[in-house]
Amino acid sequence: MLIYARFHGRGGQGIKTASRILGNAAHLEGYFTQDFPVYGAERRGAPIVAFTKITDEPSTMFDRGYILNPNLILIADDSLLDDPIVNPLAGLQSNGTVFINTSKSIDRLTRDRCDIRLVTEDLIDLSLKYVGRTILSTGLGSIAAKLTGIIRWSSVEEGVKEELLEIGIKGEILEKNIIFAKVCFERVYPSPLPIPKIVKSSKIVTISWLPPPITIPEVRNIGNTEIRKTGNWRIFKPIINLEKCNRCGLCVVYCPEGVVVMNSEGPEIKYDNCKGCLICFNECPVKAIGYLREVETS
Amino acid sequence: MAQTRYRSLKDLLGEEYVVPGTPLCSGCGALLTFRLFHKALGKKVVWVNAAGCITLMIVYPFSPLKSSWMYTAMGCAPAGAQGIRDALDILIEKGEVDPEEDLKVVVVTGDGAANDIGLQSASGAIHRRLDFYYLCYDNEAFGNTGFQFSPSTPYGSKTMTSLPTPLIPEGHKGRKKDLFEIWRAHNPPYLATVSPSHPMDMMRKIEKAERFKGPKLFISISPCPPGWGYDTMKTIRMARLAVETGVWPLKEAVHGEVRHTFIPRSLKPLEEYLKEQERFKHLFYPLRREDIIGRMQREVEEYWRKVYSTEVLEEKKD
Repeated sequence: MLIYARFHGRGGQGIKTASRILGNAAHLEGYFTQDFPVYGAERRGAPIVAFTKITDEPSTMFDRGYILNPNLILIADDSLLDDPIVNPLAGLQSNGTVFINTSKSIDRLTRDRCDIRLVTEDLIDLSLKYVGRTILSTGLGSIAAKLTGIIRWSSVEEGVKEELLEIGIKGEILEKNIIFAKVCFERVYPSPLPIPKIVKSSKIVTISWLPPPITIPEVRNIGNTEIRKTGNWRIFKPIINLEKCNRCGLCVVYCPEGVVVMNSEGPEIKYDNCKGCLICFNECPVKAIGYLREVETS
Repeated sequence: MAQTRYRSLKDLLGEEYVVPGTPLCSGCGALLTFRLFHKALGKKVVWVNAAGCITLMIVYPFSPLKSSWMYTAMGCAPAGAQGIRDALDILIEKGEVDPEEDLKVVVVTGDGAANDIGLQSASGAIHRRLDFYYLCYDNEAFGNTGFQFSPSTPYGSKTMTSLPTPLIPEGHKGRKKDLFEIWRAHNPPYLATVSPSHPMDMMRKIEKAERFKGPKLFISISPCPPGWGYDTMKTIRMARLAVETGVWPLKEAVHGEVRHTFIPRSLKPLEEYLKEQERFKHLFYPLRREDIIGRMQREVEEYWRKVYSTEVLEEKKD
């Protein structure tokens, strides 16, 4: 028995903690586990990957690298599916399970890959309802544990407690998180996972020397980050009520990104790049800016 | 300041030189300072950056800037600025670069590079009277790597490397370095602290600095939502509270002479600023640490007592 689980999400959603909860819960069930995230320049909103390996046979755990051929993938943000750099479904085993946190229906996925099992749930809605925040770690970890089919609720509960206490979360918020995890645990059902192929170590590739004009990057196209649509980081969407607005321009000045521009009719938000920090909502002196959950607006 | 370009907020709505889409955190205070700073300086700027959060703005092949950018190691941004300034001066003198195309050289670093790793190279550059701007965005820790303490972290703050324990209940035990006074000891022509919550004050200070040749230094408070632990929408609120509680005085020093540009009539209690942040939560929960909060409050009050007794009284005499 070998489970290779890979978690995809964005910084701040609790992806690393989710992978630790799964690892800890499996460990409490008596399995051998490994869990680790990819450490890089982690920031809120940046794509994050974390891995958990579970086995009952320690001799299969000798490889310690990234999971390239998972049989279980958990995606905490559906906008990552369209990101060619992240490519969250890469290497997924035939008959493997994919969980996606989404409020939309994603049938095009099963149309492209008819050999996978797709499970979806709106975790943000559930976490807002049960925890009051949009941190998904406990729910995602508990869903992952259920989808493996080998972990009981009691171990998940213990795992959640241990992990959250370690990062200093206790009291009421811990209780709320356990309820959130329990709700998530009861909402999904496991199916048998395929056995991942063990990839033997590959050869070391030597890269030949190239002259600096080829190997040193050079940016000639200035001011081009606009084509990176950071609007998909957003959970809440600010909306300006132009009838109430008095055109003071504070939202334009205070927007860190500079996505609010002043037109002849009044301020306008460029939603393609708005990250949804809601500073404009908080600072508007006449309360002309409101916000809605992103899903309610589309 | 009779003739200022910045009379009302309407004058801040001009052209943007930092376009959106950067990979920085949502609600980043440093990015807001940087954007306003660039707006005040205009397009003809070359930025010299030492490793920090802002470095992530430019990840190949994307750049949000309409100006130039050079990236250096943490210790040597002012040295990089010296090289660029000298090269520009020589090329202009030789006639190879049109004086119209001269660029302002601006160093932008975080508080770690300014207070600690790059302190000596900045000291050297100010000593050599290098004609440059220096913007330090101060989020009071090493934010980019996950919020470890820096010499700029205030007493009582929780960071990843100064967690509060029963033995050390206050978290960080060190005191915040007074970078303003360290730099002022070098006697630069212009030196100021700014806050993104007071944009008019910031823009007027940058405008004023343009008159001086030599090092022009700025320190900006930059609230950091993930590190300080508050909701992203409160970035401006945090910066404003820091100014109004007196923990972040807005001041300038022209040839070493200090003047406060914003003197609160009465200071708000420091508690208002502290209790909204996760990094000070251990001072309130599970036990309210009156001794630690009181010590922090006393330090702020002591600072302002001196200010009130010198500057405010002098103004009244006039």
